Amino acid sequence: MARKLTRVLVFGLFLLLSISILIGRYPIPDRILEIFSNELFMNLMWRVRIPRILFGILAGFGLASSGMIMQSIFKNPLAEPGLLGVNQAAGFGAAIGILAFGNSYFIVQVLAFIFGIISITLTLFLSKNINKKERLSLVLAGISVSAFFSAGLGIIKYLADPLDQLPSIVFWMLGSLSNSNWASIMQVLPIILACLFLLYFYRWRLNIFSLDKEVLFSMGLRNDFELVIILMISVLLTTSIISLSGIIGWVGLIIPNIARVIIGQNTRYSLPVSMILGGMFILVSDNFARALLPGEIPLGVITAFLGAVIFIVLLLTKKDFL
Amino acid sequence: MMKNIFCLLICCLLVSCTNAPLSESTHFAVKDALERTIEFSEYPERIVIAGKQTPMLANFFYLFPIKGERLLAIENRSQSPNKFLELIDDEYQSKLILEKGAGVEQMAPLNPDLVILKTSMKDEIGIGLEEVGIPVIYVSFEDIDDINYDIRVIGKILDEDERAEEIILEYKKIYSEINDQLKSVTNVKKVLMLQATNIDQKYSFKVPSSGWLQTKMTEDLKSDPVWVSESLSGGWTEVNFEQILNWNPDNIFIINYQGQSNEITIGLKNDELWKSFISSNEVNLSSFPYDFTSWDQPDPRWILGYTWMASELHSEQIGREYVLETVKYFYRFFFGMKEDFIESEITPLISIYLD
Repeated sequence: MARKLTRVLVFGLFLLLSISILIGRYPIPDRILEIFSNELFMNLMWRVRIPRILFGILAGFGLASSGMIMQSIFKNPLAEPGLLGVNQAAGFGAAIGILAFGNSYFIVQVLAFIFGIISITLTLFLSKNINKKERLSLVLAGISVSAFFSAGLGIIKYLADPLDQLPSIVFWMLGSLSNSNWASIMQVLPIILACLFLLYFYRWRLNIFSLDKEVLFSMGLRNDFELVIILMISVLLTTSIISLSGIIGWVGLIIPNIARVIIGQNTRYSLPVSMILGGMFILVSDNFARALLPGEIPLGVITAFLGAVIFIVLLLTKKDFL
Repeated sequence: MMKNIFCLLICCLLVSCTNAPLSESTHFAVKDALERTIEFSEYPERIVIAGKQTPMLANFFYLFPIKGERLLAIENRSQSPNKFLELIDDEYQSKLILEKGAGVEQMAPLNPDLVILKTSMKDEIGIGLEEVGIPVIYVSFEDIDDINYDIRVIGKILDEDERAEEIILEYKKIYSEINDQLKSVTNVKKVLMLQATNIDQKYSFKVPSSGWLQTKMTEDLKSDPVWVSESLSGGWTEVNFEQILNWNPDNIFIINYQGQSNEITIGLKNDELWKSFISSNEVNLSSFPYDFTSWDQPDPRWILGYTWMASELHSEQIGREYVLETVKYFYRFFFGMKEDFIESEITPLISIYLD
């Protein structure tokens, strides 16, 4: 059943990919033969649409699996990189990079990663020291850390040059795949692929982390080091993606929950489903972002809009959702 | 004794009578861009220029021979005019530079007798300034009519009405001279103006709002501003490469407000994707000139941008020599520069755009 469903979803993803290649502001030549003889169109396909679409799928895979990991580890269906402050902190780190060190991608990425790690450490520390239920304390800590880095980002935006640095920072805040060309993808591709493979092949073991502490302890399986490594991989994956795309919200929150509704709690199956659904979600959103209007619509705006609608529908229709 | 006191009183009365018409003659009123009438009992001597587009406002201010004498402070904003104003005003370094986003509390201690602001700054700072008794004049400087109107307003507050009329007349003269030469033009070219930025070889592009000066300049040069046909949002709107292809323009003008339009244009011409676009669609890609600021915006140099665009689009009618002569004339007449000064300070900055 699970394998059949995964195959159907993979087919759906390929179908969507094929349709997405044909969608864009530049019209497809009327005759099929013209497509291959039109050098400009072929260049456009190869250098603009295809890399953007492929990175969109990768981003969807990565953000959805990060969300799944965090929800499993923290045993909280609301946990996702954004809710735990990772997105805002990574944005803050990138903004510092843009403001203080020019526009070097390497520094921007490193700072995004460092601040992503800082935020998750802070969130966990606060969560453990808040005298509330575990689920609630994690959410409260995440909101606080996120707000803290949002405020910092606001200060940096205020200080930034409105013509030079501010557009780069705003780009970070709203998210877009418009900068996805082969060269920029190659900079982050090894990290993203490595993280995705690690998580994919480790997915069966994630189920263990969903168990209660006492059960894990009695089984002799409580291993904080392993847990921290998995968490770091998912933070690295998230920050690598958003260092190129900017902050794309809602994917990490909603897609893993939809995957669980479809296929159940077992991460062996729900992680791949989550990845594929994440890729499809970003592809659809980006098709709107790049082709709906003459001006680019920020991707983060579309994912937030679609995500919120899906979230409300699921909350109203599925009693066991969350 | 009484006689002396009486004489003294008579003298005082006479003196006050002779002074009265003088103070009345200083009394004047100005209607600003928001159509508010502001009355002055004397000409402002301590003027502050602040808010958005401060650099452009300051450049317009310096078109008047009184220059910085009455300028007390200027707000530090992007596209700083400092480099240029230091060149033409020896006293400019003594001016106070307010930090970006300076509010009433920063300006009030300077005790200015006038603050010049863009119309859009009314809610942000203008109302607050007037509440503490600091007069404010709003200027628009958005399109050509606004520019002429606002020049008259500045002329009035500086008691330089004649100079204001001279400036407007010169703008009109150059403008109509170009338009006269283009009367025979029938071929309408599709033009795209793109504000481009380059971060690590990743380019992003924005098009101006349809109501802005860039659109008016393009239309007046008998060209079709392709971005206007789409209902884009206000301000600069980001567009992707596919949309640029879709517009299929004949001429693309690359604008950059950090003075990198030439570098970006060269980069685009070497980019494989752009190369195929330029060659297959026969697109003319050129960098918009920048000396101390970009010439496409509501700055005194807009007329230079207009002249340069005319030469780019209609080279048979407007040659490069004409553009260079206009530039020299502009700096001579509008900013009072000497010929050799122009040759040494201005010409080297613009030569790359006139090749």
